[in-house]
Amino acid sequence: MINPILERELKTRMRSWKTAMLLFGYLTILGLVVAFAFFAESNSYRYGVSGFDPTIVTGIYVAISMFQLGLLLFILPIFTATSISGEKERQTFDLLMCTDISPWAIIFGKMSAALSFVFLLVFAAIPFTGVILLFGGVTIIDLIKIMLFYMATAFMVSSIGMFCTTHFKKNISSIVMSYVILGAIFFIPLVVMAVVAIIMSGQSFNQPFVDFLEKYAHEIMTIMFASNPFFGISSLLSNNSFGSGISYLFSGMGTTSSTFMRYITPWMACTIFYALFSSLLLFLTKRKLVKLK
Amino acid sequence: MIKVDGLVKDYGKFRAVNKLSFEVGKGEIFGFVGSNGAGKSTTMKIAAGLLKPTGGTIYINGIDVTKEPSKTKRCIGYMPDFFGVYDDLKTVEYMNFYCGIHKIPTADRAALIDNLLELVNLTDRKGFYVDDLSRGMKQKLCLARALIHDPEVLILDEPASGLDPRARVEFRNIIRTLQRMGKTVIISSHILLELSEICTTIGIIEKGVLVTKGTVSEIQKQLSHLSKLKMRSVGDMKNLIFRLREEPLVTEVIEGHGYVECSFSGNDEDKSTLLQSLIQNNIPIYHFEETAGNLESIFMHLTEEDA
Repeated sequence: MINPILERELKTRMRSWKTAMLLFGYLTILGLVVAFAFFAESNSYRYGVSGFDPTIVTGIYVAISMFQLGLLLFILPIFTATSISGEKERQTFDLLMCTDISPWAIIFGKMSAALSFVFLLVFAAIPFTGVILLFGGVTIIDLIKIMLFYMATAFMVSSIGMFCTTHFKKNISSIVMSYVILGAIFFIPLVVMAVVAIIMSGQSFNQPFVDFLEKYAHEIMTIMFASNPFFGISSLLSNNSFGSGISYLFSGMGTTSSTFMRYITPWMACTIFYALFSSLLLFLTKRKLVKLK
Repeated sequence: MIKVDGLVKDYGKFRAVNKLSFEVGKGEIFGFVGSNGAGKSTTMKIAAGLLKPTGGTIYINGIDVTKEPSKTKRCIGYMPDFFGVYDDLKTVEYMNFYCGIHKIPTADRAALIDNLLELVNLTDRKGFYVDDLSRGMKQKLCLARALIHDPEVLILDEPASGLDPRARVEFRNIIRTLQRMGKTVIISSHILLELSEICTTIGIIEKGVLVTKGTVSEIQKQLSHLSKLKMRSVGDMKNLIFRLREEPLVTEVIEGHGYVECSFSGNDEDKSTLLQSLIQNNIPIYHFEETAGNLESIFMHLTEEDA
């Protein structure tokens, strides 16, 4: 038997004209991004050498991947952060809670409804990425890895949304808090890195501490940036110039390691962090759902 | 069936329910009456497992709602004092959704939904969007939803508020049908008269305290001292008013158009004595009627006394 909350959400969402319009708008924008990337790359090539360079499609691949990751980070909080607070605003939350439905069924129904819609957008864009496969440079395995990474990221982002929506009564408060948490886990490591770099540039800095940082730079960077999906996706795009650049930027302080961490690539670190962080958030969400006032 | 045992609920420093205790037997329709903010909804929410009491508890079929909420939720149908409907679903889809929530097998749903919609007279609105239903229809749909899992106990929080007179009558008939089906119903309202026609027992709550409980006639009997006497005299009304004001059991005398009404705190024997006394004093009484303290005045008296 399908989860009734998921069934209701899908039914009402999929018969709304807004869904079709959103899908149309998304694919139009994505098409424009691909066209822009294609013409920008091919024009710059045309001025140097005559003919078509098929390697430009890897640039398009990076553009699509980054655009879709951005979409996940931007859209998912709106869908998940309104799921429970929306029920509270509609005054239907108490009706759910006075039944013996399990809190996990509510969480699963709401999360899967939000995720399924976002993945509809991502999968609808597959024909664009399919074109890239025609020219080579990107394998089907790369695409599958990216998709799996999207799923892990989406799971984490929707867990943040679920956590916020159970703790706030108003949709708007819940959405804002979701973006604040997302912003914090993405940008705090960058700020910390910048502060450390500034401190280390001072000549009077404690030398043993600097040695420690240099020795374990790879481990520290991997742990610190495990929350940042752009760090994770960089390792999946590292067989092209843009991805290598990001990879280098994030792990520039040290690419060698003597510990087991050398086997942990950025996307693995991100996925492990997402799993742990999401588990914690969902546990707190469930606790809040069953906790009576 | 339902036992409220020393229930206390505090919201910060404010005590909404104060050591409330009462019992409701199987098959009873218990009317829970009180003014706004008296503690009715809080008590009902605790019974429905939506609020945690500060002290005391409620037992449904002997099961403590605070200790085994999932068990008690299975035997309770709760209808809150607000709509709580999904406007973007059709009536039948709305019912189907809650069938899913209550894990009703798919094969049984169509017949169950048809029966419930028929019970609340919404069969012809089956394919309508909930958004297109009137307020009264939405209330009835909420009631049908509360019945999906065939609960033994129904907790209805001001189900008739905002309904027009015809819809109120329809609602009362539905409640009577539910009683015949063996359901135990707790129904709240801030209008005593509204409940007096359908309830087997009534409890009046004020400031979180149960002021009185009993059948309508029992409550009226308890408050017989509040009875009013209406009299008409052929002669001068001023004499009548003068005589009445001298009587020790008469508390208030009001002159109306062609009649005099007074509050009387005595029993039937005292009433007879009063009438004899008036006649002996040459006051030609031709109409002497006891206008029993009406329910509204009883309610006002009880709640005012407490205040």
